[in-house]
Amino acid sequence: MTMREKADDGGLDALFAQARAGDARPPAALVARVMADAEAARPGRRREAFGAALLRAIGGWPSAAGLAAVSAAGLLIGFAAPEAVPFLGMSPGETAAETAFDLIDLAPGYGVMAAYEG
Amino acid sequence: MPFDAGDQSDEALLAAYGRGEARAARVLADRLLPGIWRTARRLLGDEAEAEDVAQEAMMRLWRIAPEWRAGEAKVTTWLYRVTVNLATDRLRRGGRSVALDAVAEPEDGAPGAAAGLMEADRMAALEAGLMALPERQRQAVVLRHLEGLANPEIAEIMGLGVEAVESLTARGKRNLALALAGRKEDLGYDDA
Repeated sequence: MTMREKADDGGLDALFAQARAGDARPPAALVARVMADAEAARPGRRREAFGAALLRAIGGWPSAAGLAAVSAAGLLIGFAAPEAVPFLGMSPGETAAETAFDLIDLAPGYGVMAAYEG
Repeated sequence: MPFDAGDQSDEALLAAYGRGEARAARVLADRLLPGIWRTARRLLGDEAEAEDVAQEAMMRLWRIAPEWRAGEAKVTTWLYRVTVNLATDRLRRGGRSVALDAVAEPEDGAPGAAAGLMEADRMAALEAGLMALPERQRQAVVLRHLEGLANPEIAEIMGLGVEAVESLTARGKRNLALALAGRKEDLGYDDA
């Protein structure tokens, strides 16, 4: 390296040092945008946002409460059905076992239809 | 237990953010955003584009946080690499460069002109001189002499060997000195 280059380096290094010393901070608007991005992309926040979106999709808290009540009722009926819920078409006091073979032929064969016509 | 971000490493903070800890993002942004924003400004020579690049680089950091693999790379190295690549893409898409001539000359006889330019003018001349350098030399000079990074880290950022970085930095400085040579007296260059 020549003496001239060394002198140039000295001048440049001083210029670099001056540039480093005078370095500004990022504008507040940029910091705000970066922090908004960080909040939007934050993993925990994404899960919350999904839950909130689901709630909105079904119509908010009143709908969620109604849905929960109906679900609970359905579950209860499902468990209690054999004793407490009669089949349609059963008489009071009649059990499921008594009506099990009392079937109506809903699709009569050709022979039955011919007998009616004849 | 409350989250204490103060003395934690960048990697620990990134892992905390990846687990949903909001305060970790604030500390990371305070530490990392200034450096990549300055770098983007000096590589692009445009304030608005530099802000976009810095924001995009930080956005990529937020997105990668949950999948960040500990010990594979330094967070700063990764982030500078993303910033340099984004800036390079912008420059190539735009196909632009700033000539040293674009910097305003001082008016002859203006107060203080004989004693040298105002600091702002010296910085403007430096920035313009940087923009006149070939792209890779500019990257090496900015990372080495303005961000103060070590050559091995710059090598990793630029995807080069350490010797190639040393060569680029030396050539960049030489070209920068040549570009500014015509304005030495104005810049107070020799007596700096």
